[in-house]
Amino acid sequence: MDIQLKRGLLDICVLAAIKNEDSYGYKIIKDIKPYLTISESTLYPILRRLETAGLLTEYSVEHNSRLRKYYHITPAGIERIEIFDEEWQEILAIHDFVTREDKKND
Amino acid sequence: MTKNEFTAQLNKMLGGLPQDDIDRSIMFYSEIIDDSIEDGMSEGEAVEALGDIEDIVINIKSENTGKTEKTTEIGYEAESTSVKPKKGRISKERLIAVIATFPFWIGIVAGLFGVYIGLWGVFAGLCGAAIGFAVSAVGGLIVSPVLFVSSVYTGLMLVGCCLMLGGLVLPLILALKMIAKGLVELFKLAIKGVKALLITKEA
Repeated sequence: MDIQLKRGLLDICVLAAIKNEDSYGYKIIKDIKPYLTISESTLYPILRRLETAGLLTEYSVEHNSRLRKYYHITPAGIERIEIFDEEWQEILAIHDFVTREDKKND
Repeated sequence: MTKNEFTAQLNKMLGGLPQDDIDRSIMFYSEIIDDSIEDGMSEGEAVEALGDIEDIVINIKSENTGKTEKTTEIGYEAESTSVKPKKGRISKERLIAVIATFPFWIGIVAGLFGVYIGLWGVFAGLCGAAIGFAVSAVGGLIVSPVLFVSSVYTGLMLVGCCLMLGGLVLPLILALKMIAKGLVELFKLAIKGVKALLITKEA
């Protein structure tokens, strides 16, 4: 997959993983892995970047006598997913156009 | 590798970053290891699953230094090229304001420049003194055997004075070095201040 496309998709996937309920690092990776390759070293900078951009916030919860960091999506994060959805419709239309051209050539 | 060994190595390899960033990174990876163990992995497997520690360090550092990343099939890795700093340009408005207020600040600037030149004058004077001390000390020591012939006490006094002068030369040179460095830094600071006043960063 194209590097830049994957980069953008990973950001959206992380936001999507915490959209319905707050989640933590290990679970986010497990949730995304069936769809897109992601490693722990990939996730950490993404979380930092999304937090800096105000798309998610973090808080710690005690779990089995240790602290576990949870990530919570912000309204700006939800808006980012909505924008992605709109953009994807445009991409689908372009894909439709591109494959139609292919069919003509066949 | 155990969790403690991994975090110790990570801590060492992240040296140079702000302590808060190092602590956050270590907390993140410690948590992943703990969750992996809870999920049924052994400690060694959990650490191994994190991948190459060098890749982890590169990714953390890239985020801190503002470098861009590139993805590979296994994830992101940092690109060696950093983001170019924003170019600056001279702000016309500020330049006009500076020129318009010329009569007000020229006197102050000229005065400060005079003080600065004066400080270099002091520096030159001290340099002269240091050279004088050194030459006197060496000269005195050369002449001292002659004085020893006529009077031992006079000779001893001269040698003592020469050693005293010689002893003053070294601290004087060190002081001169510091003064010169300070004056150069002051000049750089002034240039930086002028640049900050006139140049704005492009968005």
